[in-house]
Amino acid sequence: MVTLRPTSPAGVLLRAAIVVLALATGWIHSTLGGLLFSLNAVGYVLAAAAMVAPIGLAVRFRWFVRLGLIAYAATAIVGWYLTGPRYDVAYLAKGIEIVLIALLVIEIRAYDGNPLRRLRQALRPSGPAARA
Amino acid sequence: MRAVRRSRGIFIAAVVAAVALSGCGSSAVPAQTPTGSGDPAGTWIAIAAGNIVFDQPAISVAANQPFTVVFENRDTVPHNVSIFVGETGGERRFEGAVFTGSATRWYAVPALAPGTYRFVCDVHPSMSGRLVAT
Repeated sequence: MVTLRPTSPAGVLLRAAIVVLALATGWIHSTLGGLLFSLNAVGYVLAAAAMVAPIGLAVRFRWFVRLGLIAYAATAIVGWYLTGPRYDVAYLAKGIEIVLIALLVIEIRAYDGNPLRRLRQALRPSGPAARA
Repeated sequence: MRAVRRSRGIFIAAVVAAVALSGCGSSAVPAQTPTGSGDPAGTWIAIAAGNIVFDQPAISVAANQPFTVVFENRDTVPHNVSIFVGETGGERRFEGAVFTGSATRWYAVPALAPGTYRFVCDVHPSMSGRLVAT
């Protein structure tokens, strides 16, 4: 079993793929017009930036960005399933989002462990932040 | 190329007719039958989309008769025309192909029973209008 690390070639490739896919679906949404699609595109671009930003806060909360991006993409897929149009570009965008979620799950499994435990740790009042 | 010119000509005629008929205030624009020998055959109506808005809030067609929607998408974003039963909710009666503008497509719509319908862009559900089949 190969262990994935953020600085290994596989880790860098995985992260790059996540960023490219997030930007790709963001770009597709930006071409659809309307406020909702534009906001959706902005969200994807911000999430992509947060996935690679080298600033301390982004690094510290990258696990949360991963979860947030999964929730964001899943919401977009469910929203499209319920009300969205069925045509080629929509299918492409949803395909990208499904692959994006799969890659994010791989990262979460490799770097974060159980996301529920991570959330519980973050919300626990006895953490370093609570003591500060 | 000739087909494009012809469809443009028909569309311009449709727009001119629609503008002329729109002088009746907010009343529905009735379906029109082209006088020339070109397509579309039979009854047809013109609808255009620009700035993510349909150019007509209401249209009317003859009930129980298939008709053609000449749909011009003036935007560079994708639009289509779908027809649903009633003012809200309701079953879909027709789904036009989504396409990006600027372009014009003709939709062959099957006959509608008498009643009130709404035409909607599936990509932008805020784009909608009233369709009455009488």
